[in-house]
Amino acid sequence: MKQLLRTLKTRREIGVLAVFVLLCLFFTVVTNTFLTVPNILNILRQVSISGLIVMFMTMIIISTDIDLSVGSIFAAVGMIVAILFQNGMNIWLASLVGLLAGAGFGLINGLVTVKGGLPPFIVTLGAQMVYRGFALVISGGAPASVRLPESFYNVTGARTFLNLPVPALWFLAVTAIAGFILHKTSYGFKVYATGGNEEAARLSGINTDRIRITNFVLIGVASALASIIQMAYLRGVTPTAGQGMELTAIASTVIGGTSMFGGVGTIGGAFIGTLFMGVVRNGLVLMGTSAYLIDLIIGIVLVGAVFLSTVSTREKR
Amino acid sequence: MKRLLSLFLVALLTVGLFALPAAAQVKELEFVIITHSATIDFWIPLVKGAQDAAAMINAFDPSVKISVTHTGPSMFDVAEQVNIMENVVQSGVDGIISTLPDPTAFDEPVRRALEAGVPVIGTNADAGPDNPRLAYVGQSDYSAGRVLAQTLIDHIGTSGKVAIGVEDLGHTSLAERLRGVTSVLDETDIDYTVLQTSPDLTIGASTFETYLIANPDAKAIISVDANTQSHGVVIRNLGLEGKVISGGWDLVPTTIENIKDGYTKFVIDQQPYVQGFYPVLALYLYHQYGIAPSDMDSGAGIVGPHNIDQVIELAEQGYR
Repeated sequence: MKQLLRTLKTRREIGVLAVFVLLCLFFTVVTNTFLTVPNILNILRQVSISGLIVMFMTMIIISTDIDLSVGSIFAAVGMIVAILFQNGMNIWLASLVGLLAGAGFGLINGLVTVKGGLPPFIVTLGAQMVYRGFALVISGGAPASVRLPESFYNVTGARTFLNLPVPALWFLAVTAIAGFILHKTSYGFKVYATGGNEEAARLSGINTDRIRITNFVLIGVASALASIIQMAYLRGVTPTAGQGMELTAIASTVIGGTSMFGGVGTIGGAFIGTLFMGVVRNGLVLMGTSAYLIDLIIGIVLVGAVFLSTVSTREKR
Repeated sequence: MKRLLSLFLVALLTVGLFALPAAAQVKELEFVIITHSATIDFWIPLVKGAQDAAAMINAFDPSVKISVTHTGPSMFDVAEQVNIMENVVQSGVDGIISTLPDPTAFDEPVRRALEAGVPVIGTNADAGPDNPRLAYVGQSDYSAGRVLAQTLIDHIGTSGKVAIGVEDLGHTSLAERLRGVTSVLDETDIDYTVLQTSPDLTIGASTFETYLIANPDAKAIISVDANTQSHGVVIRNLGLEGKVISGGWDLVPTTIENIKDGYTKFVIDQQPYVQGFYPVLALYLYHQYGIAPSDMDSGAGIVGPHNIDQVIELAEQGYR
C-alpha cells in the first residue's frame, strides 16, 4: 500500500487525473447535462480527432522532438483523399494513398530534421506552411464535399451500436495501440532512452536516428488517419482545416504530464490530457459561457492544470 | 343524478381554477446564435436584431420569456463550430440560429439537433437546401456578387486591373460571392487577381499594399468580406486617393469611416440585423403556433457616399 502511494505520488499523470476529476465534478454540479451518456459520447467524439494525434505527439516529445506540421498534414491528406475520390478513385484505395502520403510527409520531416541536423521546431514550422500551401494549391482554395459510400462511412464517421460514435472507437483503439508500442515494446523503451539521453542511448547501441525518424512517420500517419475520419464525419474537407491543431495536441500532451524536455510521459497521461481539453470546451459551452471568454478561460485552466499537477507531485526533471 | 352532475361541475371548476395559474406560467425559451467567427464585430447588429426581436416578443406576449445568447469559435473553424453546435444541443436549448458555412459538415449535427427537438434556422451563411435546417435567412451570395461587380463597372468601366481579397479560403459563402463577382468580370476586359487576405486585418492590409505596389496602375481593390475595412488604411498609406477605389462587403464601423473619407465607394450591405431579428420571430412562431419557418432573403442594399450619413447614425445604435 505504501509502495502504491509512493508510486502514485511520483507519477505526474495522477496529479492531472485529480485535477481532471475535480473539473468534471465542477461541470456536473453547475450544469445538469454534463454527466449524461449522450454528452460523454459527444466529448469522446469531439476529442477523438486531435486525440489520435496527441498519442504520437506524446511519443515524439518524449524523444525530444516536436511536430508543428500536424494540422497541415491533416489538411493536405484530407484534400488528397477527397480529390482522388471525386475523380473516381475507390474511397478505400484513396484512403490508403492518404495514409501513405501522411507517412511520406512525416518521413520528409524526419529525414530533414535528423539527417540534416536541424532543430525539429524550425523544420516542422516550415513544413507546416509547405503542406498547408500544398493543400491550398491542389484544392484551388475551395472546400471539397464528399458523398461517401455507406460501407466506408460506417467504419469511419458514423454512429454504431448503442449510438457509439465510430471516431471515438478509433481513438480508443489507437490509444491502446500507442500504449502498447510505448510501454510494452523495445521500440517504446528506445523512445524513452533517446529522449532521456540521446548520446548515451546511441553509445549503448540504439539507432536513435531511426527511432526519431520513425516517430515522425508515425505522427504523419496518425494525422492522416485523423483527417480521413474527420472527412467522413463532416462529409467534406476544407484546405484550411486543422489550423492550430498542433497547439491543441501539444497542450493536451503537456497537460497529460509529458515533459517538454523529453524522456518523461505516458500514453495514459496523454489520454487524460486529451479528454481534459475536450471537457473544458464542452463544459464551458454547456454553461452558456460567452464566446469572448472561452479562449481566456481555457488558457488559464491549461496553465493552472499543469501547475497543480506539478506541485501536487514531485517534478522529475 | 343532478346533484352528482353539479358536484362534477364544481370539481371541474375547482380543478380549472387551480389549473389557471399553471397555464399562465411563463414559458422560458432559450435561443442560441452560433456564428463561425464569434469575436468579430460584424455580428453586433445580428445579435442586436435577435435580442430586439426577443424583447419585442416578450413585451407583446407575456406568456413567453425569450432569451438569446451568442457563441461560436473565435476564428473560422468548421470542425470546432460543429463541436459547439453539438454541445449547445446537449445543453437543452429551445432553438438554434446558426451560420452554416460549409456545404456538408452541418448536415449531421443539424439533423441530430432536430431529432433532439431543437429547431435550427440557418442565418448569414448557408449550406444549401440539402441541409435539413428548417429555413435560411440571408443574402443570396451569388447574386450579391453580381450586384457588386456591376457597381464596380459603373465606377471604373470595363477594363483595368482589380484585386479581389478573400479572407477565408474554403468558406462557402465567400466562394459564392467571388463566383458572382467573377462571373460578371469574366465578360469584361477587367484583369482581376484573387488574393488571400486572412481575417487578420494587418495581414489583409499588407497583402493589398503589396498588390498595389506591384500593380501601380490598378484601379480598384475589392473584398468579399469584412476585410473591406482594411482598404482605407492601404489607400491612405500609399497616397492613392482618387487613383484606386475600394468596394466590398460588410458595413462595419471602420468601413463606414472609409466611405465618409472617400476611399470606399460602395459596400454591399447584407443587413445582418434582419438575419438575427427574423429567425427569433420564426422560432417563436414555431414554438407557439407550430408555424413552419420559411426562407428569407435579407437583401443586398448598396451603401455609398450618397446614403452614408443616415446609415452611420443607425450603425452607432447597432442596427446596421
